[in-house]
Amino acid sequence: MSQAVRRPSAALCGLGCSAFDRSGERSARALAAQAVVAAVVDAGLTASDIDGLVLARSPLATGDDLPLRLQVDLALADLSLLCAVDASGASFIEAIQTAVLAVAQGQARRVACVFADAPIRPGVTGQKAFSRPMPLSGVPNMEAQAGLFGAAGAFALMASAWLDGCGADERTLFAHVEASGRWAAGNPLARRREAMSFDDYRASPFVVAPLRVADCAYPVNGAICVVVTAADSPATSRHGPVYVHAMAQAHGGRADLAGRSDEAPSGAAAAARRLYAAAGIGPDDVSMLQAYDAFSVLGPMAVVDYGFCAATEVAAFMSSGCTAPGGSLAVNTGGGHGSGFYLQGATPVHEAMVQLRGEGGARQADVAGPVVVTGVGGRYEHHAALLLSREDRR
Amino acid sequence: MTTIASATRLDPHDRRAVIDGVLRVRRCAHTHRPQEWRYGRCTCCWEDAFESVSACGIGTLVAAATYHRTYDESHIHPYVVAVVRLDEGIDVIAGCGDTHAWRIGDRVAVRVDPSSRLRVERMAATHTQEP
Repeated sequence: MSQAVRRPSAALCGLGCSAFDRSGERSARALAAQAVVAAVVDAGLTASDIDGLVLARSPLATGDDLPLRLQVDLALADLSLLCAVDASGASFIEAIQTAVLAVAQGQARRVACVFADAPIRPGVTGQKAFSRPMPLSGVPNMEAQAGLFGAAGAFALMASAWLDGCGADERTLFAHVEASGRWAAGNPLARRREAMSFDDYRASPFVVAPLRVADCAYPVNGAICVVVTAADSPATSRHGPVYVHAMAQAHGGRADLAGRSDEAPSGAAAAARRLYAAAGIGPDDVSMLQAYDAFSVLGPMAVVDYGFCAATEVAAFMSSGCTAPGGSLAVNTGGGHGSGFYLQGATPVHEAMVQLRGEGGARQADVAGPVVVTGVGGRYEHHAALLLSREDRR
Repeated sequence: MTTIASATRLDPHDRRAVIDGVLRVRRCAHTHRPQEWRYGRCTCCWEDAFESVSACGIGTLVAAATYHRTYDESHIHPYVVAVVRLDEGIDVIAGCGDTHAWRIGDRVAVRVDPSSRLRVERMAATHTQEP
């Protein structure tokens, strides 16, 4: 690291997951409780140590799917912080940010942040679960009348415009998918662990061109929980703490219907600028990117927006293998949302903690510097980011 | 194309793009700048007084996506959905009349079909890059 990163404001001391599946047998609420218990145990704590609970709800979920009554389910008494965060795919990182601020203010000492979702059930496939029209225009029924259904269609529009603007094409999407698959080969939780050639990629059927099945996330039912504590009093986890050095958000409300903004940097670029300013470092100091990539295009978009290469260079950067195992910038080392699993913004946080704790096994990368973790909500409107490392720098 | 010359004052909550079978765009009643329908207030003066004027119906294709799966029975794949930036500077989402290659930068016309849906149609076969 060429510059000293800012002292951490909090630590992530516990990581817990529910079982992941696509059966629909367990509710998001039950999965969330599983993950919280696992994270608290992982942190070396007990239920009585937890005084905060922050829920990150899926945009598909209703309040009843992950209610505040999760506190009662968990028999947690006298919480000093209890809330739900709603920022679509950025919710989990924003939940952690809420907990970090509460810990820094002394409002709470040990906060469990949990994301849970169970969109897949008998008769409801992943495509069906995410098939609702995504409102973009503000005109009633404009999307449905045009046939713009599902997140895939909205992101395909953005991908077409973004690739064209960068002078890139499907080879850039393939480069991200291929690199993600190579990382996923070492992740027992990943769904796609085999190598993929360009021919294999092109044989993957289109969902909404330019996006193929291979470009789309693999939704699962599951929950992930992280326990946040003060940086100077981390819990007694055998894994040791992961420190939060900086946080940022950006919500670009003026992007056009193709997802671009002419009047300001994209929300992700604004979040990156704020994150680096808060940390006192730049992209050259970062060793790993864990990016929200519900669709493959979001991987290279994050590489550009977080400053690792210029938009005009992204095709060459991605195709060079920089983001694959052995490359200069490890990206989505668990396989991301496509080759790994899709639990929205919780997937990148989970993998960042696995890597920083040195638990990556066959996919463990060299994490010499800080890790950027991103969350994306809506159709690229909402951005949240964390800068994490193993060093407390005090 | 039918045109409506005069501006019509809109209820602030009226977000219709097609009125009486005519494609309209919304503009600020104070600054007269075109305003996307999703904004509840003018992006320049922050007033919420809008008026509706007829659109030229001509624009540039800025994004296109081809559906290879059927999500809804009223739209059978394959079909193309596009974002068109009208020459007034306003974006619309519309279905394309065919599935042949639509290129970003194509100059296109946006028509209102009898069921009040927007349809993108090709213009002269000139390919110009979006400014």
